[in-house]
Amino acid sequence: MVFTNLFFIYLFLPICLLLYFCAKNVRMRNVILLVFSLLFYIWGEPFWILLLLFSSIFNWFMGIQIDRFRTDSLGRKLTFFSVAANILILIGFKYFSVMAGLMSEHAFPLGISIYTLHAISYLLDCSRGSIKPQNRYLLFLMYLSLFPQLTAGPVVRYSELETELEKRRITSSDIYEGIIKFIIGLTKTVLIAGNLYPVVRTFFGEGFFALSTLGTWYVLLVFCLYLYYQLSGYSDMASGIARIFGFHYPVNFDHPFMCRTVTEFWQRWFMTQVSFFRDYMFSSPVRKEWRYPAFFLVWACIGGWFGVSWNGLLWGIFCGIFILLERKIGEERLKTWPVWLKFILSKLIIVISFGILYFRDLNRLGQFFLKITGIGILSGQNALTDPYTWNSISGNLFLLIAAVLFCGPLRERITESFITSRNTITASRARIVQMILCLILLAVCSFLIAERPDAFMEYWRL
Amino acid sequence: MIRHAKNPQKSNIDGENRILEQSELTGIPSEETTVSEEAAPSEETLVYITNIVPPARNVSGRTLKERSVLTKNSAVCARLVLIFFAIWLAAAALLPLTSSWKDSEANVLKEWPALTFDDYFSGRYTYGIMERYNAMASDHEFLKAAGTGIRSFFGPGDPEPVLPHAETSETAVSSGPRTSDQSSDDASYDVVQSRNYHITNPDVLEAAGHLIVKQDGHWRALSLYEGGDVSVYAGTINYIRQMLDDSINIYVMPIPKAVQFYIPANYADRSADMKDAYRSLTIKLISGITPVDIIEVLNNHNLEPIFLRTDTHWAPLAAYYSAREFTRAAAVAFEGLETYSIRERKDYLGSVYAVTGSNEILNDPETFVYYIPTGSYTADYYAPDYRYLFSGGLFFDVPDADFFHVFLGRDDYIIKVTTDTANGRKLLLVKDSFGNALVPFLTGSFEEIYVVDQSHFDLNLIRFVNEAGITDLLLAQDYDSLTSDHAELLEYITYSNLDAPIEDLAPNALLPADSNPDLDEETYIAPPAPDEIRSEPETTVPQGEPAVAISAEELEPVYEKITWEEDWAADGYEEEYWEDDGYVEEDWADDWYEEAVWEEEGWEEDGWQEEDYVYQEEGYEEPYWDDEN
Repeated sequence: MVFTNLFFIYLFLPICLLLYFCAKNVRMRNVILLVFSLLFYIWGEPFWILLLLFSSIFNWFMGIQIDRFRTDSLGRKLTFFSVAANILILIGFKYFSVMAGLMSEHAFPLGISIYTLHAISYLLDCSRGSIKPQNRYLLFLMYLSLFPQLTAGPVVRYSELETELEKRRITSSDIYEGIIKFIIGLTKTVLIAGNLYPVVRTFFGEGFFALSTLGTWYVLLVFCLYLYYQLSGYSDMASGIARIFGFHYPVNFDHPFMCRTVTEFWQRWFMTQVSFFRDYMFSSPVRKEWRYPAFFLVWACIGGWFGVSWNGLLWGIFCGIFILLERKIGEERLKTWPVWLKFILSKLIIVISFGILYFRDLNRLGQFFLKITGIGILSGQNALTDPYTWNSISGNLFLLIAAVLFCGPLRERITESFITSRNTITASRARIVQMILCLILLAVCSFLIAERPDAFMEYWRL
Repeated sequence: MIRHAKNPQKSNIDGENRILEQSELTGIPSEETTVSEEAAPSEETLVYITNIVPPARNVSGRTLKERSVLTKNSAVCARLVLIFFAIWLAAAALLPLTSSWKDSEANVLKEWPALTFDDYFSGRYTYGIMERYNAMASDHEFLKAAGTGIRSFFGPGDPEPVLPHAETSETAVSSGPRTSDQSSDDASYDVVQSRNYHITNPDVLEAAGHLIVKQDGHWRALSLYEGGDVSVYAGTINYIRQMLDDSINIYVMPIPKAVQFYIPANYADRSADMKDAYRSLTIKLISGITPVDIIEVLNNHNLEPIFLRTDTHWAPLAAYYSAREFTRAAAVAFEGLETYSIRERKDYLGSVYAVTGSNEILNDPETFVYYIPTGSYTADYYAPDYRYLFSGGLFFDVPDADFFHVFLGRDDYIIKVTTDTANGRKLLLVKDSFGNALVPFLTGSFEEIYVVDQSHFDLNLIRFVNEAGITDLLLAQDYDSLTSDHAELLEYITYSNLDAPIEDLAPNALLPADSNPDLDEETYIAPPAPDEIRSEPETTVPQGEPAVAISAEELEPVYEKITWEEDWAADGYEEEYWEDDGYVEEDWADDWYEEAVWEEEGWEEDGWQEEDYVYQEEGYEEPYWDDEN
């Protein structure tokens, strides 16, 4: 089951909300959330639920033991063992099985990347003493399997939800903000990402070898927008649903394409994942002579987490090289560069890096670089342009303009000025207008989902 | 020890986000500091981490009155959404299944998917439940139309992606250079919208020799292909090549069936590969014959509706792509699809339902989309023995169950299409029922198009090509016709009926400018049927000519004669009859008048045609036929 399905939006979610708000206390609500989360998982993964349950039992038990032996060496050994076990499960079921051809890239256990990171963060926080381990297994299972975050993040640490798991208060503002966020996320996913994806799939698919240089750049930009809108849309939907339930998730995307350096891009892109790696990998001090290998190892892990193949590692390392380069140039010197230059250069590097993330086949990756650099034109393999690129641009022109414009904080600025008027009465009416606009967006997305039922079958599985 | 904030502050809306410091991102400390294993995190680090989550927006800065109004509004807005959900839920769950706009969708899912071990763990069970709900959720057709309408706002052009595709080596190469009158649509790239359907598909049923598969949310019927030897077919075409002048171009374009593109991998061994048949055919053909391979051409468009789901035939769109491929090989102009007028027939149920009785097909009809050329043309219809019947357009008013015959009305005509394409090229299309859909797409490419169905042709093919001044001969039948008994039909019309007269008796009507009888659907006539022929026939008036009424008496014996000779031809009875029984001689011997005429006119030398005229003059034919009947 995915969020962008009529069944989820108009049956599963309303029933879940109805029962949730009919519950008298937090305990009942937690039970309902747990049941629906497991139902959500079983719906799409009737077999891999066993892996999720095994992971929850194992990590819950190990968390208690780690906290019990935290002060001596057994605690450290248990921490190492349990973290290693989680990493092995992740590598085995996601990377090894796909790369060895044992299962397709859409068949590995749903959300394994997410709940594994959740479990690792829980274990390490228990080891550090920053949280108290959860004694109630069902609460821990609920945290691990909470359906809003399970599919595509954000990576929400146990410490961020610890209090709200057992005690939370839901205001009508929470519900309103949650609904808005969910609908905005749905719009990003269905209206924008869902309609950009066919361009990527078609142009980077069978027709790739005949694609022109400008066509390659065009589709690459579309892919960047598609991935951003899909991941951020899913994060928004997850945050919105969680907000309705009374959970407050951290922000995951902060308009990454507004960055001026590659470093800044990674400060704004999938922030929960980057902060996870930063806190649990960077925070450990290392010997001076190992810092560069460690640095690239971490970036390889960050990039590899997104993909299922070697190209994810390459993507991370590629980005790491430019981050290191910027570090060597120095912040002060970078500040002296013109803003427009930094803006364009950073976009160039980031966009090219997304090409590395997309192409898993070495041959195609080579072709990709030949095309974007223009070497393919010189060797006669492809043309500079082709009519089909222009056809696609003209057919999606308004969509592309909207996608580029709303990459930035335009929507938030408009919303802010809309509802934070000094005149209170206007502000209150403006909220209702905003809600009506959102309902229109919801209807639009429903039409699109119904019109193309397979539009989102191949989402970016994490 | 790094401590995380236990109660991070939350924000109501997306507020400011504190950007992570670069050193924290890289993990590489600045050169001024050294890292030691016992180094404790500084107060600065502690402070930083507690600020991971951005501070909440200061709502308390508002006045009490503002907070209360905003809170009240939030409640109103939340209720609006709940009402929206409730309406949708009610529409999906509470409206009766007999609701008019849900009948077709709901009937598909009258039964819930069966819960079995395999179905559950494969995901089919839950997927089936979702499918049922999605179909029930609302007026599906309306939503789909709304979705399409919304996508039309994405840009001034067509949002559907088309992409460049390198020409494959299997594409036939034209024997001649491309002329300057090539259509602008004939770009060096072909459009491609395809995916691989040869994957394991659990949703497959079998009925009456057909596979009924579910793909992309719809049921599709697949007629299996048995394969077989193409030697007879190839040999016949080789003979035709040898008998015709080298200046006449000959093309062979076998038409694939849907099973070639849509058969699931788990049933792949149930149907032969048509590519093998094509290769086998091309190996056997002699030089001077141009094979046109459309398997790959159609495969590049298999995401589009190129094959009917509820019928064994291809859809007009596939005929369009195939016609385009043929015109490339023939080096003639071709009109792009944008020049055609599009028509639709909704809720089309093809022949498969009648054959299989499949409820899945019954409850999942399709929309039959066809294209009307906008150029000028007129069509003359003849009986299989070339007797002129009537003139008109290419499209007919046919019943829904037989809607594929909207093209040309029936299969048992000879048709001559005269167009306004003045390029001196005359095409003879030898086809089976699949080929009907090709004809409208060729009206912009040839000056004259003759259409002959291999099952309903009482003349000799080679003589016909010569008499009609044909410049291009295209054989376009589906792959089943290349093998089995159907190949013998081509053999028959090639080798037989050498003495059958060939004279075009259609009124010579000049093609008026802007004459297109098919643009107005109101003018479509129903094709003459046996019952209709007995009554006063409808007449079609070629423009500028007086009406030529064909009486029922004249039509009736012709039709009966067609039937009689068809039967004889199929069974070989006619030859037997004439040769073995010597009936004719006996008959002539009995009737002194006939014998006299026969001897005087030298009937044996001059052939059947003269005798026919004699009979007409003398009024003998009718009694003769009546006696025989």
